Amino acid sequence: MTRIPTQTAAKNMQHSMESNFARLTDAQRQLSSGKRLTKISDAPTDAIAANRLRAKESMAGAFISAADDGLSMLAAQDTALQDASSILNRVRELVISGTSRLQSPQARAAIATELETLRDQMVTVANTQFAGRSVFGGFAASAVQNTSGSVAFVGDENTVDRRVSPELTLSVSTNGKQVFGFEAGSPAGTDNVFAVINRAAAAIRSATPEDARAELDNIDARMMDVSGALASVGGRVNQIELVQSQAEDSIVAMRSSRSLLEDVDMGEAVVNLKDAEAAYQATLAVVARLHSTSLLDFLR
Amino acid sequence: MSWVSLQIGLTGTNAARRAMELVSENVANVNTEGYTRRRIDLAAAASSGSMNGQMNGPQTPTGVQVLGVTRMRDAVLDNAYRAQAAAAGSAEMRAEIAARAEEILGPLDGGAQVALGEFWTAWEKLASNPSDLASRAGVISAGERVATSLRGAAEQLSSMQKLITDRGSAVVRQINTYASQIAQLNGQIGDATFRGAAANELLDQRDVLLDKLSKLITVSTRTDQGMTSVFVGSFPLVTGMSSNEMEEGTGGTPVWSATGTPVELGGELAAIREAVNLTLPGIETSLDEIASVLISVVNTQHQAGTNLDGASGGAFFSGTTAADIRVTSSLTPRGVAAGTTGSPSDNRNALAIAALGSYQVPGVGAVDDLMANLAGQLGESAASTEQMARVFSSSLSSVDDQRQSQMGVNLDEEFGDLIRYQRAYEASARVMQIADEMLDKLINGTGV
Repeated sequence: MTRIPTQTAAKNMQHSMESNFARLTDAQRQLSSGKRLTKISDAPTDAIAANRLRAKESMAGAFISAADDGLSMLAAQDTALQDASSILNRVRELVISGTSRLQSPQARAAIATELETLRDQMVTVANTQFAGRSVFGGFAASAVQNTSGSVAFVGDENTVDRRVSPELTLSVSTNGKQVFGFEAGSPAGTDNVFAVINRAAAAIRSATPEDARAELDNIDARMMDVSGALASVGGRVNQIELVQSQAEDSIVAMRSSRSLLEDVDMGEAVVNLKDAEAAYQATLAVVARLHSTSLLDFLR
Repeated sequence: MSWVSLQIGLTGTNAARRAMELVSENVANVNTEGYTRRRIDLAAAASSGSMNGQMNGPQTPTGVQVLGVTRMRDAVLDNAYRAQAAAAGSAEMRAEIAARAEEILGPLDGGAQVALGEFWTAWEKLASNPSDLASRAGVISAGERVATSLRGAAEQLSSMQKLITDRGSAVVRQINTYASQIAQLNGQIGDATFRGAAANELLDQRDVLLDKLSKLITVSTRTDQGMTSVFVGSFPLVTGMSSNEMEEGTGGTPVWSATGTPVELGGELAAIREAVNLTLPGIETSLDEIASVLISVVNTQHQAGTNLDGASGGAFFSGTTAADIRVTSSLTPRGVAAGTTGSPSDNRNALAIAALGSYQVPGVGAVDDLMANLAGQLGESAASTEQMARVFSSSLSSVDDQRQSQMGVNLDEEFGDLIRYQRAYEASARVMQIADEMLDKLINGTGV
C-alpha cells in the first residue's frame, strides 16, 4: 500500500486547486475577450491559417477599392464616349444637310460654324478627366491640344492599370489616339475626327458638296471606333463588377472562417466556464473537508 | 527477579521515550523540505547468558534495546528522481525560452506579420490613386511599421540572448556552490560517523543539495563510507571532501577549471547552452533573412520606378539586417516611386511593389512565406516545448510522489505511533511500579 505523506496530500490538493483555477481563469479570459487564440502557440496551425486569411482580407479590401476607382474611371469614359457618339451623329446630320443644293450660302455658313463648335465640344470630350487624370491621354495630363482649330494629339498610349484581384490586372483607360483616329489614315492622323470635321466644314462653306460627302465615310469610321470603345468600356465594367462582387463575397467567407479559427464559440465557452467553475468549487469543498480531518480530532 | 523486571521496565520506558522523541521530530518537520522521516529500530536486548551460571538454563530476559534510527529513504528512488530532474529541468528551461522567443514577433493580431501584410496593402491602395499624397504617406508609414517591428524583434532577441547568457553564468556559479557545499557536508558526515554520532540532518541537507544540483546538470552519484561522490559524465564534480569547479571558457562554453575540457551538459545548463548557441542565433538568422530579402526586393523595384518629380525612386529601405532596417530618412511622399514615368496617373511601379510579397527570390523564397514560416516555427516550438515540459514535470512529480511515500511524514501515522509508544511507556512504567511494589513487600513487609 502506498503511504501518502501529509505534505504530498497537501501538495496534491494545492496542485489540483491551482490547475482548476487556471482552467477557470482561462475560460473567463476566452469569454471576456471573445478570442480563442492570443498567441500562435495556442494552436499553431490555426493561428497561421488565421494570419494568412487576415493578410488576404486586407489585400481583398485594397482590390475592392481599386475596383471602385476603376469603375468610376470607366464610368467617366462611358459618359464621354456617349457624348462623342452623339456629337458624331449630329456632325453626320449636318454634313448631309450641308451638301444639299437647296441650302443658301448663309445657311451653309451657319452649318459650318456649328460643325466647328461641335469640333470644340469634341476637344472637351477628348480631354475628359477623372480625379485630375486624363482618361484618353494615357499618362499625359491631356489627350489633345486645340491650336486655333487645328487639333493635335498630345497624349501617349500608356494604359492606366488597376489590379482588381490577385489574378486580374486590367486597363481602365481608353486609347485616345485610336478612338479619335490619330493613327488611322495616310498620312497618319489625317483621318482624325477633328481634321475630318474641319475639312467637312470647309467644304460646306466653300459649296463643294462632293468633298463634304467624301468625309462621310471617315465620320462613319470614327463612329465605329467610338462604339467599339464604348463596347470595350462596358465589357470591362461588367468584368470588374463581377470580380468585385466575388471579392466582397470572399471577404465575408474569409472573415467567417477566420472567426471559426480565432474566435470563441460562445456556447462552448459558457459550458466550459460552467464546467471549470463546478470543478473548482468541488475541489475547494473537498480540500476544505479533507484538510480539516485529522486523527487529532478523534483522540481524547 | 524483581530487580530484573525493574531493569527491563526501565529499558522499556527509555525506548518508548526515545521513540516518542523521534515521533515529535517527525511531526515538527512535517513541512521541512527534503526531510526524511525517521524510524526507531528496536530489538530484544541480547541476553548475557543465564543468571545462575547454568549454560542450558532458560535465558534471562534483559528488555529492549535501541539499535538505531533509520532514515526511511531509498537510494534507487533518489537516483530515479535525479535522472528525471535533469530531463525536467532542461525541458522546462527550453519551454521558458521558447515562450519568450514567441513574443518577439509581437501579438498575433498586430505583430510583424500583420505589419508586413499592411505594407503590401498600402502599396495596393497607392496604385488606385498614385498621385494622392496621403496614400503616398501611407506607404511610408506602413514601411516604418514593418521596419519598427523587425527592429523591435531583433532588439528583443539580442536582449534575450544576453539575459540567457547571464543565466548560464549564474547556473555555472550555482553548480560550483552546490559542489563545494556537498564536499563540505561529506566532510562533516564523515566526522560524525567517525565519532559514532547520528548525521541524519546533514544527510538530509546533502540530499536536498543533490536534488537541486540534478536539475541544473545531469549528475550521477556514488556513496562510499558515507561520502557521496558526484560525477558529471565521467568527470568527478565532488570526490569525498574536495570539489572540482567549472568555469565559462571561450564563447561561454562551460569547461572544467582543472583541465580545460568541456563539461558534459545536461539539465537546465544544456537547455541554456542550446538556446545561446543554436536556437536564438537561428531565429536571428531567419529575422535577418526576412529583413534583407524585404530590403532588396523593395529597393530594387523602387529604384526602377520614378517619383512624382520625375527622378528615380532610390532606396525605400536603408540598412541590411533586422537590427538596422529603416525607411530611408530622406524619403518624402512625393519621393515615393509609384510609377515608371513620373506621371501622376502612372501606378505601374506601385502595382509591381504590391505584388512583391509573394515574389520568389531564387534560393530563398518569398518574404511573406519567410515571415509566416518564422512565426509558425516560433509558435510551434513554444507549443511543443510547453507540452514536453508538462510531460516531464508530471513524470518528475510522480517519481517524487513515490519517493515521498517513503520519506514523507504522515501526521495521522505519527499520531498513531505516538499513542502506541505512549501506551508502551505507560505499560513499562506500570511494570516498574509492580516490581517496586513487590520489592516493597519483600523489603518492608517481611520479617517486621
